[in-house]
Amino acid sequence: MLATRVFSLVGKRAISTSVCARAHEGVVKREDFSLPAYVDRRDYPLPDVAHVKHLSASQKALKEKEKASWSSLSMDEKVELYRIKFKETFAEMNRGSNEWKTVVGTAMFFIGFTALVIMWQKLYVYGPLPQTFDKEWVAMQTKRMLDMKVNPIQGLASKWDYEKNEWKK
Amino acid sequence: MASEVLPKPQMRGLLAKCLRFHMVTAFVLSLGVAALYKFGVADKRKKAYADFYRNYDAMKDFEEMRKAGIFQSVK
Repeated sequence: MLATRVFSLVGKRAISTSVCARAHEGVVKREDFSLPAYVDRRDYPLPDVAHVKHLSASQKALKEKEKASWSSLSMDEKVELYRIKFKETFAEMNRGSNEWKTVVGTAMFFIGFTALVIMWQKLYVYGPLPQTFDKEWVAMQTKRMLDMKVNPIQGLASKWDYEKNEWKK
Repeated sequence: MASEVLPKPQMRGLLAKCLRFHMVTAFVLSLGVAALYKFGVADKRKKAYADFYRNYDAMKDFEEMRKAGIFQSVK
């Protein structure tokens, strides 16, 4: 299920533009891309063009009524005028989505897969650890460091009780 | 469209409000972190060093190390 959501997220962008352009031959003319466009953006509150380019007869009539006093407009007419000019309200364009769950889930999935890769590497690729990692060697090493009083103020030797010959509690 | 009347949003002074909040927060957080560092790290470390060296006997320390056998020049 996560996989289908991921593919829908990724696949949206992967469809080639030429396929899209051919499919939309009748809708979006190529030259429209050179004209000012409408955008729903928080940081661009007044777009270059209105949202609805070609008004129907009733919308044209409404635009004529708009030229008169606005107090004569009903609430529905005001909303209709808004919707002619703008596609989404600020609340609509800023709405959150659940995309973050897909993103986080996919990231965790691939991190988990990486863990499997690393386990395989430890088993089949890496050679043995050097002898300096053996328990006995590390014990001798630590004893020598304590004898040398390495970092006696805040570090290693400060954690060792030299009277009782054990780690400090 | 909406039958209930929404409260009028804040129209002015948005930058001032944002700035005041963030300036206050920035001051409080940075002074707090600095104070915590001073007491938790810097002063603690200075005290640890002072305590260590107050009654430190270098010769005694050397003798202990010599007896442990870590030196090559003196056994």
